[in-house]
This record gives sequence, structure tokens and C-alpha cells, in this order.
Amino acid sequence: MKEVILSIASGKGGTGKTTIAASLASIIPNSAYIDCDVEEPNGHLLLKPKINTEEFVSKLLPKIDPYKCTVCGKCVEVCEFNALINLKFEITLIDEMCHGCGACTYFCPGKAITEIEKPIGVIRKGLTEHGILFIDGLLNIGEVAAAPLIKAVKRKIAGSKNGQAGYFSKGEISNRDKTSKQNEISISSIKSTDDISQQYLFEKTYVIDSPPGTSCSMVEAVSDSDYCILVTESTPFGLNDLKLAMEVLKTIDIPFGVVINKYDASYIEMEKYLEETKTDLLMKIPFDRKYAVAYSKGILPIVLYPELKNEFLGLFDTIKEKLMMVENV
Amino acid sequence: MSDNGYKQIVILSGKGGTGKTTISAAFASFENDKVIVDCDVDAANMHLMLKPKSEKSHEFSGGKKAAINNEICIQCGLCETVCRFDAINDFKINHLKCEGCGFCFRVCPESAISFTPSIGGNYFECELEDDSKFFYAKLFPGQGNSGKLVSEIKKSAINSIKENSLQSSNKKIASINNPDVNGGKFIIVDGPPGIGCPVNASISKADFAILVTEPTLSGVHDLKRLVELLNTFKIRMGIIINKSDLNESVAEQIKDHATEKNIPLLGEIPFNTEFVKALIEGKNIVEVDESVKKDLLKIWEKTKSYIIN
Repeated sequence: MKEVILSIASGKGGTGKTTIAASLASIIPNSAYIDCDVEEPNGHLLLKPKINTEEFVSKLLPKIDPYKCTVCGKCVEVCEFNALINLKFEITLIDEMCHGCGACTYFCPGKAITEIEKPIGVIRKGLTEHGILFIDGLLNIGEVAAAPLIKAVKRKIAGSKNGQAGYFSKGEISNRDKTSKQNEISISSIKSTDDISQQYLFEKTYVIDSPPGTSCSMVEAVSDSDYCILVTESTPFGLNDLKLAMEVLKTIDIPFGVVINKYDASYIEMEKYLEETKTDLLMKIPFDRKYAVAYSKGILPIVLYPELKNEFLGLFDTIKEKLMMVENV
Repeated sequence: MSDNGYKQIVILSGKGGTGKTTISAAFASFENDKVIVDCDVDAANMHLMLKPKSEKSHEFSGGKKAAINNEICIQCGLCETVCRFDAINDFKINHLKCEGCGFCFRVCPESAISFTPSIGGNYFECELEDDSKFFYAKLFPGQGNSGKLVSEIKKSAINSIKENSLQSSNKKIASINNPDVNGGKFIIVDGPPGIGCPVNASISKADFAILVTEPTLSGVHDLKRLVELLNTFKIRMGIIINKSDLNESVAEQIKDHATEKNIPLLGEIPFNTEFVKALIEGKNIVEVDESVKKDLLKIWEKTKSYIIN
């Protein structure tokens, strides 16, 4: 028995990450859905959770005490982000430029700087009708720093794992509780997927819905996952962005496989590329207008179309198999 | 706001995959005096469709990165204590987590940490078949600073206009090449999805924002957040509903929201598999489907009437 973190990412936006993440969360027993697309979270529209807690997340900004500040300029010198400006008679802060590193506070010789909290967003937590644990982050409009909020959302995983209510303080390490990795059952021989489902049940599966792209936000969302599903679509745009996302996952050493959504057999380059790079193709979802219509209403296509639900059950079996292979290496 | 008479138009959506790039490329094809900028720097796609005839690569300096020299390091752990980005573990720096604040470098009592500029990606200055300029970028995987890179390519695009007008080159005149449209000068910016850092950089100094949405609950949800962001910047905007017949009642919701927020509806584009076909063939939709071209041209003309007023 173990806890597993499964992330769903894609380079390109609009390929179907949220639908796939929410579908998996729905069919995997004892799952949690974690929406890390904090700029535009959509999972709540499909899973319709009952939110029971909302918690504000802040970043730290320096506050300079004008009575103590001698305008020596040390803080300006140590700020790499040009967030502090020396106006000769005072030092002023540009909030948006500040990364909250704390160097100015530390190095101020007159102890004139303290840090105050500025809200950047909110973390919502709840349960769906079917008992899926739901967590998402919602970035405040106008706030630029998505990655710190994603980090705070992911700390909730560690929080719930430790049985805490999700308390965290600055400086706390977001890594998952590493001891959980030691309590794994190792199964040496795998006969069929049926065996796997029976022998290899996860205590809890966290399904992380990542933001699109390949920048720091995406890395923050997928890092520490046990396996990542990259969702792409049968177009040159889909392939190009898939390649970029694969590069990220290789760099941070996370095993992955690919789901081709809106599959179009006429675009052969996609499968050719996966074959050439020996990348696991986990599932193909054919393009079908009825799926898009269901999604448009906020309904998961697997709820309406049993054939698709079966495909997802198969996908989960495949992923379980992959996870075991990862462990046995 | 405008540079040398060029109007800056940014195409955004909030939600990804609504058709920003396809529509940007189509609108760009209607104009001759233009510069195109793909600001989706961590997943750029427009170059695949525009197929530039030449490109010049530039390095993008993303910021500084710290590194620990383990021969000098006395393992006091102070750097790990002060780092707020969890970037230091076992006296090693994780470059993907390092924000480049330099705190560790400054705090190290043994000066065992170096702090040097790093390349965060590349950007490309291209020339298209019709001699117009096109800019796109490739942020290195996992990098931060995407907003900074967006600002940098936009700056290069604006500079190229200034250089061009100094040389007063042999620019083709719109009315000769494309008799369908009234001439104008445009910087067409294909924006990234979301509402965060690179989006904020994309909309700075924009004269007008075109919001491409789709009638899905996610589309509406994300559109509303984007509208709110643009309102804080006081940027004028208009809405295009793509795949408009996918869900008529949600499409109505979008129109109601537009009316409520006093945002013009620029047009509706019904769901059409030709769009995907064009993508697969690596073509601009206006080359593939004549009736779609006509519809898009109408939407673009309407958009221009709002931009100019």
C-alpha cells in the first residue's frame, strides 16, 4: 500500500488535461484531485465539489520603517529583481517586482525592514458528491506569481498525508514525506493487469492537474510526482509542445507516458515520433463532438459514455503497471 | 500608446486551446503593414504555421543562477536556511528551483557560492514570405522569467519598426496587395494562456485586446477572470466566440456577460473541422477554406472599427 502522486500535464493548452485528470480522479478509488492550474482552474466545474474550507495564501513583502532607515542603499544593492528603488531621501518598493526572497530584510544594517504578508490567492478544499478530496488554488487577478501559490497548494498534499490540517509555515520543505516510499510492497512477477489491480492497491492517489506550458509553474506542479501523463492532440502544435514538455520531464527525471486526445489518424507524425523516441502511448481518445458538448456543459464525458469510462479504467491499469516498473528498477 | 502609428493588438483567451494562434495568423494575413509577435514563449506554435523564410537567433539572459563550489564549502548550511525556494539540498543547488535572488551567494561566509548570468532561452527575429517581420521565442524548459522574455521580444518587435521606418524601406502598400482591406499598421501579439506573469507582460502597452473564447463552462469562467484583469489595466477589448455552436446556452451566457461588461462581440465562428485540417497541413485557415476566410475577414474589419475608434 502506498500513496501515489500522478500529474497530468501538457505543453499546449486546451488539450484536455482537466477532463483527463478529473476522469481519473473519478474512477480511481480513494483519490484526490488537486488543481494546480491556479491562473485558470477549471476542475471544479467538472467535479462540482462542496467547498468547505478556503484559506488565503500570502507572499512576504518587505516593509521599511522610515524612522529606522538611513537610506544607506544596502537593500537596493542586494535586491536582484530591482524591486527596491533608492529615491535618495527614502527607499521605495515595487510590489510586483518582489520575489519575497528576504535578502533585504536580512542584510539591512539598521534592522529597519520587517516583512508583511500580501495575499496572492486562495486555496479551496472540499469533497465531491462521490467522496473525492478536492483541492484547488485560485490566483488573485493581477497577481503575477503563480508558482508560489502552486507550491502552497502542493503543501496541502504533504499536509493531508501527515494528517495535519494543512498547516505550513515559510521555509517548510514542500517535499513529500519521504518515509512513505519505504513502505511499499515489491511485487516481482506481474502476470496480468488483473493481478495488478488486486495486489497493488494504492492507499491514496493524488491526481495533479498542471497548468499548460513548460515554464516554472508547470515544473512546480509536476515535480515530486511518481508519474506524469502528458496530454497532447493530433496536430503539429500538439506535437511541438509535447516535445517541449517531454524535455522538462526528462530534465527533472519524472517517468511519463502520453495520451493523444482528439485523436486523428491522418496525423501520423505524432505516433511516428512516439515510436522513434520509445515513448509510451497510454491511450488514444478519438475526436468526437459529443465529448466536447458534454464538457461544454460541465459534464465529464465518462459519465455519459460507458465506452469511454472503460478506456479510462484501462488507462488506470496501464499506469499502475508503469508505476510498478518504475519501482522495480 | 502606439509606436510609429502601429496599433498593438493582443489576442488572449484565458483558457488554452480556444484558437488564439489560428485566429491571430488569419488576421495577420489580412494586413500587409504588420509585425507579428508570438508571446507564448514556453509553448510557441505560430512559427509552425507561418514558416518564416529566414530567422536570426538571439540569446535571452534569464537572470543569474547560483552554484556551490564543494571544495570551498564548509557545509555550514546557512545557505539552505536562508533560501526560501527550497532550491538548496545537501549543499547542492537545484537550478530549476533557484529563483536567482543571490541570497545564498551573499550570505555564504566562505564565498563558496558563485552567482553568474545564465541563458534562459532564445528568441528569433524572422522574416516572412511577404517580407513582414515575425518574432517568437523558446524559453528553456522549466525556466522562470517568462514575463521578462515576453517583454524582451515585444521590445525587439517595436525596435524593428523604428529601424524600418528610419530606413523608410520599400514597404508594400496595403491597398495594392490586398484590396479587400483598408490599410493600417498593426503589431499583432499572439498571447499566452492564463492570467499570470507572461500575460501581464503581453498586455502592457496594448491598444486593444481580442478575447477568443469558446462556449464551455471553462471557457466562460476563464474569460471572466481575463476581463477583470484587462479592466484593471484599462485596456479596451472585444470578444470572439469560437466553436460558437457547441453549446448555445453557454454562448448566450458569454454574450450576456459581454453586454453586462460593455464589451463588443466581434463575431462568432461555428465549430468546423476545417480548422484542425488546416493545422495538420500546417496551413493558415484562410488558405484552406474560402467561406471561413470571408467570415474572419468580416470579424477583422469589425475589430478594426473598434480599434480605431
